[in-house]
Amino acid sequence: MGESFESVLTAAKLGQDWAWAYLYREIAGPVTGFLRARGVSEPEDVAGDVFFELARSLDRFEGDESAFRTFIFVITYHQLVAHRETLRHRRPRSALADEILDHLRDESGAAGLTPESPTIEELQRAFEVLTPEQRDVLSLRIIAGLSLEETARVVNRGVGAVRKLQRRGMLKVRGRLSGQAVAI
Amino acid sequence: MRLLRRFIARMWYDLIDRDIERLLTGNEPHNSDLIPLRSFVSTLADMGKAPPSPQFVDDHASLTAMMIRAARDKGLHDEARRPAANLWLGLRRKTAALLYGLIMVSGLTGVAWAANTAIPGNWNYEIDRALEGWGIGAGGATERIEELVVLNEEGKASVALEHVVDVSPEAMGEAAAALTEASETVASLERGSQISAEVRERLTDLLRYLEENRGQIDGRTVAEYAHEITDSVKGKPESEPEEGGRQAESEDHSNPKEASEKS
Repeated sequence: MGESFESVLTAAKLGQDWAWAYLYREIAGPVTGFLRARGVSEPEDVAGDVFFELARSLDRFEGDESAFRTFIFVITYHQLVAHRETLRHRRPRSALADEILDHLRDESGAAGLTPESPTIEELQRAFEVLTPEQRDVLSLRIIAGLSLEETARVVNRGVGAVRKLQRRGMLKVRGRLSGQAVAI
Repeated sequence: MRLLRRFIARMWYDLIDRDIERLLTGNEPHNSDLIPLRSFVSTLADMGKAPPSPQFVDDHASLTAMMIRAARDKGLHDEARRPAANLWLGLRRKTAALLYGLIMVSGLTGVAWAANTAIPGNWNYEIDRALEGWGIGAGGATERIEELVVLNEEGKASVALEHVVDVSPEAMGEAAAALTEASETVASLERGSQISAEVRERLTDLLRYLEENRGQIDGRTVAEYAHEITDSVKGKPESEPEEGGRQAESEDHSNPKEASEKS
């Protein structure tokens, strides 16, 4: 959003249509992407709840764009936890659900995968070896585009702990992709 | 030797962390061992770049903006928390009714059925009330009383007392303050310890009265029940039952007005 952030935020607080359309276009992608990667089968539904909570609490928000992104993903993370609670007694899904696989197949061309790149199935298996906390951190860092500090605030952990989760997760994925056991 | 090993490990972790940060910001890692992670990162990153459908933006953006404007018009942000919550509750109910009305039209009646069994505090209770406003699903005093019975059985006496007024809002004018006081008093007890059997019994009496006198509920009688619950929690000695008063009336719930007049 850059320089337009302040004006968009002010207009959104006043209920201007254009500001909310702008926010949805800017934020809905990372939010639904994050939710999809974390196994939510209907991410747009949960994203709708995220925006509802955002609208409810926006008036209390004060801060810059970085704080705003953190604010949104704190809401998203809470919604994800609530969603997991409702699904707790249902059949567990694979870490990367079928929709994600389809998405990855569609996007693999755009991602610049070369013939020697790992296959989509290998990427899926690599993601599945991660712990839920590692998936949370890597999804927030890579899909939501949050910094280490922002991610730490969202998952309510210290920066050092998040860095450790990130490192272990990435090395696990690398080990999986290259077929090596990784000592971490 | 041990210190040296720790030092080397920390150095290695630090280098790895820096390389991971390079990868995550779209740069080449120095360590070639991390190169296989490039495609993993770029593929995942693309998931966050997919724009929402124009339909999604159109549907949600104008609705959200409208809700914000409605809240501002009613001075939501300048008022105390409770009125604000009520306004949002109203907006939420209308939104929920609209969305779930569409779902109903689409044939997913199971959702409405599930909402119809909700009690205060459940996520879908607002949907239940909103659907009732649209004439979908059961409603009215009967369902409100059934909800209160469930709440009482679950030990949520304070929530039940808070919602007694919903059974017959027009008749509860005189009882509202007493019910609120009883609810808050019981809530303070619930926080500290188990809800007493006495409170549950008195609430059961009140619910029985409501059940037996639907359509002719007397606010003063309800207020008396509420005061009794408050007094029982606060440990006040119960006043000597007057002949023909509430005490007698609790044994004869079918004629509350008469009992109230006697008292």
